[in-house]
Amino acid sequence: MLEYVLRVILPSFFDGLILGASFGLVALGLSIIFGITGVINFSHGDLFMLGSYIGLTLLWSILPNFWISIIVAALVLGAIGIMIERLICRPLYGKAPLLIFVATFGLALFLREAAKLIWSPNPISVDAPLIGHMSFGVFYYPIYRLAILIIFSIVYASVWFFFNKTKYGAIVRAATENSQMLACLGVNVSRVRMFTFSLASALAAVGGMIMLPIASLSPEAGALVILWCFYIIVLGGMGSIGGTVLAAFVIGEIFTLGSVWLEPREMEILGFLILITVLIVRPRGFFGKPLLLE
Amino acid sequence: MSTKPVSRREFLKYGALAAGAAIVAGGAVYYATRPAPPPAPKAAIKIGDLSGKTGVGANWGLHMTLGTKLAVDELNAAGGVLGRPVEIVTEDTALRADVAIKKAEKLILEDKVAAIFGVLSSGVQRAVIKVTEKYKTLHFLCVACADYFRTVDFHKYFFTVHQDGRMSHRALVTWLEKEYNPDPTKLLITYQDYAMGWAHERAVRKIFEHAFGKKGTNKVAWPLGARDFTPWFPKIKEIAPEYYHSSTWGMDSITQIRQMGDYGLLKGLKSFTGSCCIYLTSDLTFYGPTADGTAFPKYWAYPSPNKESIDFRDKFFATFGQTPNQASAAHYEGVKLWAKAVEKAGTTDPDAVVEKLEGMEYTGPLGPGGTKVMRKEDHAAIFDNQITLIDKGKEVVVATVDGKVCAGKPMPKFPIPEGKTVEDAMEAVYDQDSYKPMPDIKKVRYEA
Repeated sequence: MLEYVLRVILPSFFDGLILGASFGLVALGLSIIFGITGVINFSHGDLFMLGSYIGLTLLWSILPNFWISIIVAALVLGAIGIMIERLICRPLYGKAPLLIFVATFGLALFLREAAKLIWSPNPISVDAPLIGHMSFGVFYYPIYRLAILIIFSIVYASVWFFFNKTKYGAIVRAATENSQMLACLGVNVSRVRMFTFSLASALAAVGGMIMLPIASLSPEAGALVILWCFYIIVLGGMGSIGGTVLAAFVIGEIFTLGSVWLEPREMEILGFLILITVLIVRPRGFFGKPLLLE
Repeated sequence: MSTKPVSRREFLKYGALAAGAAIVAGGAVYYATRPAPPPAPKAAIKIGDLSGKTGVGANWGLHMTLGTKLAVDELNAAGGVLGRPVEIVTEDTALRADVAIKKAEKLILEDKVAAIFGVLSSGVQRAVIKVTEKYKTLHFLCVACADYFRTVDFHKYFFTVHQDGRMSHRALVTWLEKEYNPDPTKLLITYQDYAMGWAHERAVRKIFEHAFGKKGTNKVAWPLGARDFTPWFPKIKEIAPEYYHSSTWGMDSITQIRQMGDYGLLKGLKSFTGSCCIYLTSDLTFYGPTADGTAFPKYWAYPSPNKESIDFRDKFFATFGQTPNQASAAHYEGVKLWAKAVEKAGTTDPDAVVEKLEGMEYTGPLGPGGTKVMRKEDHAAIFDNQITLIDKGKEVVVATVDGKVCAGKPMPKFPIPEGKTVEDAMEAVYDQDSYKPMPDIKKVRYEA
């Protein structure tokens, strides 16, 4: 029994942490954007993809190593996030939600097709910067995955520190609660929104780059990521930062540990059944604000 | 004599007449003495290159085109086929059956190709073979390797240039049995969950069952194009195989083998085998040491001593600056085979070409050398298989296996019983195949 737990369950548990952490970063950004602007950014998953491609291109051309390319990719995507907010979303604030849906969905399609043109539609597999595996007696675990558990911990700790211990983080949290009140208090909410898009895009790029050596990359990767993000923020609660992070890890563990006993594709079906059930029973998710008709 | 001056009008009139006469006379002289115009060029014979050029199999598709191109360039340098140049029309199926059907129809109806070479992906091939049957178009299969095409899907104009899964797995399983005598309950077969994967899992399971009386193999299937295989690793760990067979190709193969290596799942195996498509020769550098020790059946192996194979790989490298692989070699041979048959028939008419191809003996880069035969009954190319081992990142041929026996009983147009599925019929193909005699295995060591 102990051997089974160590050999089969424990590595899956670690995989679940990694899966939850990577999608959680992306979902966190999506949740914050929604909380502050009311915008559901359908192109957010494709920013994960774009960040990976940009980071990879920089790595293959001018940057000396993988870790620096993560930081540079985050900065580049941060700048792209600002452009998206200013050029696409800002003109549509306060307008019919369908308009923003169409605009961001169109942006998602544009990013995917542009990626196919620029980098080709063929999937790319990238070597991990740390190769090999560590032996834990009855099981082996890749060194790179152990490293990214540590990296994700640092990233999440930094995000927590920003939101809970800094003035600007408090402003962003306040904006997710009530941006109108914040504006009344003299805070430049436009700038907060712009910063939020930038931060969210940068986080998506970090998640994308870190996951790059784990699964092959293709222009369609973003379509899968956005599904996961919606899953996470529906369960965790739209606009709830803590809820999003918790839901991400819970879902990551459900999917990976569930795959021990069920086929992975059966797990996907089960996962969407859970999603539908939550939407029916508690539409605001576990930590979201009550909705109008609740 | 009158000395009346010529008026301007008269000067112009007679001058124009003289100029016109000079032009006509000059033109007549030129026309009579000009060199004969070059003969009008003969219309090119078009052939279709149909495969997936994008997606998980892009590296296969590229090499299929390069192999075709090398063969066509050689044919054209030697004066073409029937004195006519050969022209390739390339189409991308994107590994989708619906796209492939449209592209095949376009090649046949618009481009009027004399033959189609392709396709990639057995699922797509199952769709395209119906199109070539409908339009009675020559169709040379050089890469997709599921077992449907010589059996349930077979038609008169269809030819297999390489070795399908039924043939190659007969060679591999026989070798595996001889070398390792594996316990089938400790054998795991992983495969991509579509036509080719089903075919290969079936082939390994059924050959073990009927040829050696062994049952109880394990299986795990994952989707074609899965980016991450770790969700299936708990199942693999539960099975805890001692013998592992992988039927995965393209980018999936690279990702899967790497991830399994990272998780230590390839450690401690008594045998690690793959289907013919697990590795492309040209992709071996992507796998690193995780590929070492894999044995798989190859219809074209880089270190083969076959003189035509050596010539092919040298010419390929010289032309394209890349290492060739089984996809390029098979397409090269397929085009040359077609050209030979057309020359013999004196026409591109499919029925006449088919008549020449059936039973034809020929040589080419596939196989370990010697003469091949295109079997009349099911249009299968008969030649020996080469069991190839990956040793320190390079291919080493360790055995050759009798191809005539591995080809099995010809069962063209194998019927699908009423109320049963294609997969049921394919199970019956193996149940009705012959497993005696055993194919001869010759131990060799060919290294490049």
